[in-house]
Parts: sequence; structure tokens; C-alpha cells
Amino acid sequence: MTARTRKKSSLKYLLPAIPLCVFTLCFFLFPILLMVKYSLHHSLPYGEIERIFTLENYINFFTDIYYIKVLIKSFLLGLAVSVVTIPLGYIVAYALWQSRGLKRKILYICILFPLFTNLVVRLYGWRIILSPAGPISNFLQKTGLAEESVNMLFTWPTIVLGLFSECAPYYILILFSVLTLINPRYIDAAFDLGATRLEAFFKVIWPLSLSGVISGGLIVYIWAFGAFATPTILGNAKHWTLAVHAERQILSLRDWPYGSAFGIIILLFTLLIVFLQTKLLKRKQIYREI
Amino acid sequence: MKQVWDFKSFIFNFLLITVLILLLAPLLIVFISSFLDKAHLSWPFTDFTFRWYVEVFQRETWVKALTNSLIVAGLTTLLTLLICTPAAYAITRKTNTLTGFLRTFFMSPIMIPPVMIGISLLIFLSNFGLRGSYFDLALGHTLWAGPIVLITMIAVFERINPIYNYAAQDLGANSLEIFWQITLPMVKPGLIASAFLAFVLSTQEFIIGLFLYTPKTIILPVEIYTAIRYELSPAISAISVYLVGIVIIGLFVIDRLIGIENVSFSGKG
Amino acid sequence: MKKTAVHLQNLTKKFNEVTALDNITLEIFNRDFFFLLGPSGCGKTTLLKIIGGLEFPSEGSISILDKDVTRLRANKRNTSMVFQEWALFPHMSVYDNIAFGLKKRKFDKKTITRKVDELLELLHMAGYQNRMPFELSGGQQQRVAIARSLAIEPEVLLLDEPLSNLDLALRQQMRVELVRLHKEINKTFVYVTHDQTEALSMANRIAVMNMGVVVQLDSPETIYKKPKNEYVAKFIGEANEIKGTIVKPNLFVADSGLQIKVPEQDIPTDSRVLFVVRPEEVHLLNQEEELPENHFRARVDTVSYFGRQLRFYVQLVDTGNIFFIDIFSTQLKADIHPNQEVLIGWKPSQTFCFQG
Ligand SMILES: Nc1ncnc2c1ncn2[C@@H]1O[C@H](COP(=O)(O)OP(=O)(O)OP(=O)(O)O)[C@@H](O)[C@H]1O
Ligand SMILES: [Mg+2]
Repeated sequence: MTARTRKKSSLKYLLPAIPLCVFTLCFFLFPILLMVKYSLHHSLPYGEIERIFTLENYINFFTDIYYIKVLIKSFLLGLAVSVVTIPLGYIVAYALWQSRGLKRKILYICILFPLFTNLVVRLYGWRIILSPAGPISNFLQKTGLAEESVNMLFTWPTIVLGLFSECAPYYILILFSVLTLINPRYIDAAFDLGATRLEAFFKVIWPLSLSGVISGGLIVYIWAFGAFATPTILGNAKHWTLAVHAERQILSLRDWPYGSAFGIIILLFTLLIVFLQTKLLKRKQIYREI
Repeated sequence: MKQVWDFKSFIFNFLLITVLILLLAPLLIVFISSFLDKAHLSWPFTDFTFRWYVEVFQRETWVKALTNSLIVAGLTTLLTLLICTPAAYAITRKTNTLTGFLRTFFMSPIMIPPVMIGISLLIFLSNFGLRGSYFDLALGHTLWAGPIVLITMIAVFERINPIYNYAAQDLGANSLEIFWQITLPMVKPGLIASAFLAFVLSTQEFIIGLFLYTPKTIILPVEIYTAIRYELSPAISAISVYLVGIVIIGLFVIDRLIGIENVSFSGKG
Repeated sequence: MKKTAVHLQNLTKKFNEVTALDNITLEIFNRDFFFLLGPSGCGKTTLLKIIGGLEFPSEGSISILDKDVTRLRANKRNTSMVFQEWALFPHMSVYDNIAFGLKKRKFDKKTITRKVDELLELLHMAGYQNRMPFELSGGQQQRVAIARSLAIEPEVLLLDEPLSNLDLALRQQMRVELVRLHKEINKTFVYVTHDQTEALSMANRIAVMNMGVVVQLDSPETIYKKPKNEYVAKFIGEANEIKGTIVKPNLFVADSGLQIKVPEQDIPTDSRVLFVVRPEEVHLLNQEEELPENHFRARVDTVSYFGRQLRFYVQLVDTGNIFFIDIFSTQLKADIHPNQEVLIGWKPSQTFCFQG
């Protein structure tokens, strides 16, 4: 029996994966390649497209100070959301990991429920809460902390808050799945050696969970960087991210080549972040092996 | 046990509860506001009524959007199950570089911002003149729900002991018979749960839908998105509660079938 | 001449870097009750799976009843395996479990029902057709698993530690039943275990394995009485061991100075060896009896009871070596107390030396 025929027969088990493979190739990978192609075309008024190859869309983008600012804003927004979500989400993931039985179930549902619920509905809820006619503004007026109604919508902290409540559940679950891999006996061992609770955490759990923090934090960053719904519902033109501009170009201005270029730029920066993360994770991988 | 005032655990619990409130408050306020007996939402909330829950069904656009959402979710569920079940089965048979690569590859649609899926599919479908059917939206939603359902299915398949495969093969069953007669009956609850998961995910998806809808196929989340640009009203809250209701029912069924803890967003590997 | 049921030639199995089986060649005869015996991780299950076609060898070939089946999958071989965890399909009734293989072989419904009834009868499980696996006790599940495998009338029945999940009493009962079953159905059984008592009491041939190789293949008696090397001697039964040197072909001198007569073996003089004698071969001697060639004065250290049997630990008066001795209570003439001086001894023919 030659090695070759053996190899062939041993790949047969992957046959059932073919439909999903084809699906992902046709409707995910191919459309993205198509988008790359469109981003290299020239756009004419009224959504017409001239099918020549040009780099003008990218050149226009990177020479337009306005869009450079948008790019930087998107970056900073991603950063701000990550900085808020990583420690706060950690607390919930940790509590989830430490809990047992009914408490764990309740916590789990508290995280899964908003995660599954439609994003627009959740942001709509924030709009009610933060609007000038909403409960917080009302409360501030009643207590005399504010003289007239306060509009907390259309501010950066509000956008960060919205994105936090959007991304935190994913981050918590990813981190939780890494935490569950840690043997609780390590903590006992640390206590045994006379560590305080905080020391035990920073010496034992934190390094072991770092890979979860990094991969979860990455998802948060990518989503906040590519955020669309939150900046449009809780913000105004000032807060528009790259993704919102991409949507405007595509759906409102019907400039598909330019919009595609926006999309590709988002994608490239996303891939760059993923690349940096895998490098980071590789170096930290040692912790996981212990 | 020391039962003294512990500042550190107070801070911990305080932050924990704050985060949980931040996660749940928006949904709670939507729920409460749906009972308000005014045309527009403004504080204080007084005078409660159920009428919006009935009235929303008199608005034709909303009924249509809800129906469309359910149709798209049905199609998405079907498509997701059809292609993800065999794939999950295949890649859990062995652990090697190839299956590891496939896992990552299948996950990639949720690793990039969903706006990208929206834009690229829109271009793709228009390029081939395929716009305007429910199927477009189902395609997009399958790209979104598929990976998440796949993770759950992988967990379900991995839980069954390979020894049953061995036993069946030993007794003369071929791969196809093993799948239909042994594996499938054993994972049935997991598959039904996955179906609910796909359905829920599709009904709640918004961004991909925004790019792919046409006036004929507009779905509820997009309709709500359009509506809240102009007003905040108890009627919108009420229709939102209907939408959220689908999640509650879905999660309940999933919990009964496989335990809610098995729904996860991070496939290992 | 005996017919060969299973013939393995130069079989090697590698899992990436791990070599689970290393160049195994062995023959299992038709109607053997053949045992694979070895410690955990030595490759027993792997070998059994390869015979059953559930794993494939990296090198070498395997034939069953003179037919080369090296590349044949399990569903195309006339072997069947009873798993350690039994692996009854949890969603099928007892009937459906047993009928599973028969349906694959396209028997008509009436034949299937008849065969299932017969098998359940054979295994003392008549009337359990409609139970689900979770409604059965461990021993009953075990029987159904065996019935399910027997249903397809395999030429070779493979059993992978089938009794290890049962309690002691049930295990002993099942041992007897399996021997009866083997006689009744007259097929080849290949049985994997790490329990030497099981192997010694049930097998007609035993292959002792260690780290992926077969160390010795013989009848239970030969394995016990004439172990080929130190490993087999230690793994099967218990033994007193003393390190020392062979100074003459029939004389062993322990490091403590103890001189022992041994049977002549072709071990060069002056080589280091391990001397081994089994505890039941060492006897308490009577001054009046004729003394064997090896006899020594010893002081009793401890005595422990094992019901029918007693175990003494004694220390030789002259050299200080410690021995343990097993004696049936009924053979003991007088009481023996700790600290008492006794005479112990054994025949040279019952001992072995292993070079190492
Ligand atoms: N699928 C596999 N992948 C990698 N290594 C394996 C695999 N199956 C077995 N091994 C290795 O091969 C060796 C032999 O395993 P095997 O299961 O045959 O042992 P065994 O003698 O049956 O042990 P036990 O008595 O514990 O059941 C072990 O070192 C084991 O780790
Ligand atoms: Mg084994």
C-alpha cells in the first residue's frame, strides 16, 4: 500500500465539510475578492461604474485629511472601548467562573440574553435612557444637579458606553471559556503557599488567562473599530467611524468603488490587528502549556 | 472564616453589578416603556396600558417586516443546519492541522466587522443580478449564524464518545449508516438547539440586513432602525419586545435541550 | 496441525512519535481462548483494534483465516469486538442493539427475531428485549454487549477488558460464563486484560506484552512456571528476587554471600543475574524429612492471614536475606509465631536466574 493511496482514503472523512467549504468560499471569500476588484474601479455619477483599474480610490482616501481623521477616530474608539471592556468584562467572567449552580446559570443568562438580543433594540434602550426627556436627565434636574434637560446622546462617552454594552458579552464568554481551562487547584496551591487573594490572582490566574484576555480583547477592538450601529444611533456625523462612512458611500451616495475601498481599508487594518495579536499570543503561549 | 467588612470584595461586587446593569438596563427600559400610555416617550413614566401590543399589528409595515423576518429566519435555519451539521461532524472526526485550519476558516466570517459581509454580499449579489429575494438575506444571515451554530454543533459532536462509531463499524455499518443511525439520533437534541440558535440569531441580525434588504423584503430590525431615527414611542418599544420575545423563547428551548452553558462564542482551535 | 485463525506479521503501529506496537509477529490458532496480557499502555487495545480493523497498522500485515485483511475495514471483517465500556447504543433497546449487525447483513425480520431470542437465551437474558441500556445493570449490559457481538457470528471475537467495569463477585461469575460460552460456540476468542489471574485461569494461550512487543507467548502453565525473562516472572505471579552472580553453571552467589544451587542454564559464569523463586515454591521444612538441596535456617518476621492461605516473611539467620513464603493453612502442621526459628528450602528445579 503506497503512502499516496492511504492519504487519499484518509481524507474521505472531510467530504461532509464540502458544502460549508463551498458556501464560505462562494459567499464570503469570493465577494470579498469582488469587493477588492470594485475598489480598483473608477466611479461615475449616479452610481455608474467605469471598469478600469486604478488606485485613485485609495489615493483619494489617504490624501483626504478628513478621512485620515476618521481613521484615527476609529482607532481611538476601538482603543477606548477595549480599555473599558477588558477590565470590567474580566470581573464578570471571573465571577461567572467562580460561581456554581443556579448563580452561574443566572449570570450566564444575564450575559447571553443581551448578547442575542437585537442590537438596534439595545441601542434604542440607551436612547430612551440618555435622551433629554429620559430618566437620567430628569433625575439630574430634580436633584438640582442640572438646570435644564441634559442631552447625553451624541457624545463620545455615550458611544463608548454603547459599544461596551455591545461587545462586553462576547468578551466575557471568550474569557470565561479560557478561565474554565484553568485548574482551580492552582489557586488552592497559591493560598497554600501563603499568598493573599489578590496575590494569588495576579501570580496565578492572570497569567494563565492572558490568552483569553488577548483574543477576547481583540474581538472587542475589531468590532469597535468596525462599529456601525452604535455611532449612527447614539452619535451624529461627528462620531461616524470608517464603517459608517463605508455604508454612506455604498447605500446613500451609491459610490461602490469608493465604498469598497473603505471596506478593504477596514479589512486590512483588521487583519493587521489580528496579525499583531497572533504574534503577541505566540509569545504568551507558554503560559497556556503549563 | 472571617466575616469582617471586606473592601476588596465590596468593590468587586459593586463593579460586577454595575456591568450587569449596563448590560440589562437598555432592555429593561424598552420593556417598561412599551406599556406607556402616551404617543411619545418622555419621563416620568405614568399611565400604563397594553394597547400598543395590539396596535402594532394594525400597522401594515410592521406586520410585513415581522413576517419577513420570520421567513428569512426560517430559510437561514434550514440553510445553516443543512451545511453546518455535516461540516461539524466531519471536522470533529479528527484533530489535525487540516481540521484546525478548517475551523479557523469557517469562523472567519465572524472575525471581521459585519459591515464587511454586508458590503461584499451586496456587491456580489448585484454583480450577478440577484437582488430582491428573501434568499439574499438568508445568505447573509447564514454567514453570520453559521459560524456560531458551528461552534455549538462541534461541542455537541465532541461530546459523543467515538467508541459508538467503532462499535457500529465493527458490527458492519459503513460511514453513512453510522452517521444516520448512530451519530444523528445521539445528537438530535443538540441539532434542534442549533436550529433554534440559528433562528434567533437571524431574527436579531441587523447590519447585514441593512445592506441587503429591499422594500419588499425589509426585516423587522431594519424597520425599527428606520423608525427610531424619527421618534421614540411606546409602539416601537412594543414591537421591540416582540422581537426580544423570540430570544427569550429560543434561549429557554436551548437550555432545555442542551443546557445554556453549551452555547459558546469561542471554538477552541 | 492446528488451523491459524489470526496471523500477524511484523506489525508496527506508530501514533506520530509514539510507537504503540513494535514489529509484532504472532499466530492465534482457531478456537483458541487467546489472551493478550500486559500493563496499562503496552499496546493491547491497539493490537486488538488492528485485528478488528478499527485501526490500521503502520507496517506489517494481518490475515484472518488465511485471508489478507490488512487494509480491510472493520465492517468488512468477520471479527467483532466487545468494548471495555461495552458501548451499547444508548438510544436503542436491547433488541435493536443486538439486531443492529444482523440488519446490516440483511437478514429477514423473522430470522433476526429468532437469533436475538437465541442469543439472549444463551446469555441468560431472555425477556429483556425491550429494555433500554440505561435500565440494565452492569453485568446485564455486559451480556448484551457480548450478545451483540456474537450476533454477527464472527470467526474471531475480540474482548477488550470486558470485565473491568464489574465488581469482583460478578467478575468471577462472568469469567466462568465466558469459558463456558467459548466452549459452546467454538469460536476463536482474543481477550485483552492486565489481570494475570484472569489470564491464567481462562486462557489456553497467553501473549505477555510490554511496551509494544510480545515478550512471551505460551500456555498459562509455561508462562507461570518457565517465564522467559525477569519481566514476565515479575508481571505474572509474585516472586522473591535476589541480586547476585553465577559463579558456576549451577551455583548462584548472592551479594549477601548466600549460596544457592540453581538449574544449569546457558548463562556464562561470572555474569550478574537476578535469582527468582516463587513464594509457594519455598517450603517450611521438617528436620525428619529429606531436605532439598537448598535449605536455610531462618527467623520468622511476620505472619499474615489471607483466609485459606498464609504468608510468612522470614529472614535468613546467616545472610539476612528476606523471603516471603505462601502456604495453605491446611498444610501447616504446627503453629508458627514471629521470632521462631524455622528451616526453609526449595528444589533448584523450581527457580530461575535472569541475566540483566
Ligand atoms: N489514538 C491514539 N493517538 C495517539 N496515541 C495513542 C492512540 N491510541 C493509543 N495511543 C498510545 O499507544 C500506546 C498504547 O495504547 P493502548 O491503548 O493500546 O494501551 P493498552 O495496553 O490498551 O492500555 P490500557 O490497559 O490502559 O487500556 C499508549 O502509549 C497510548 O498513549
Ligand atoms: Mg486498553
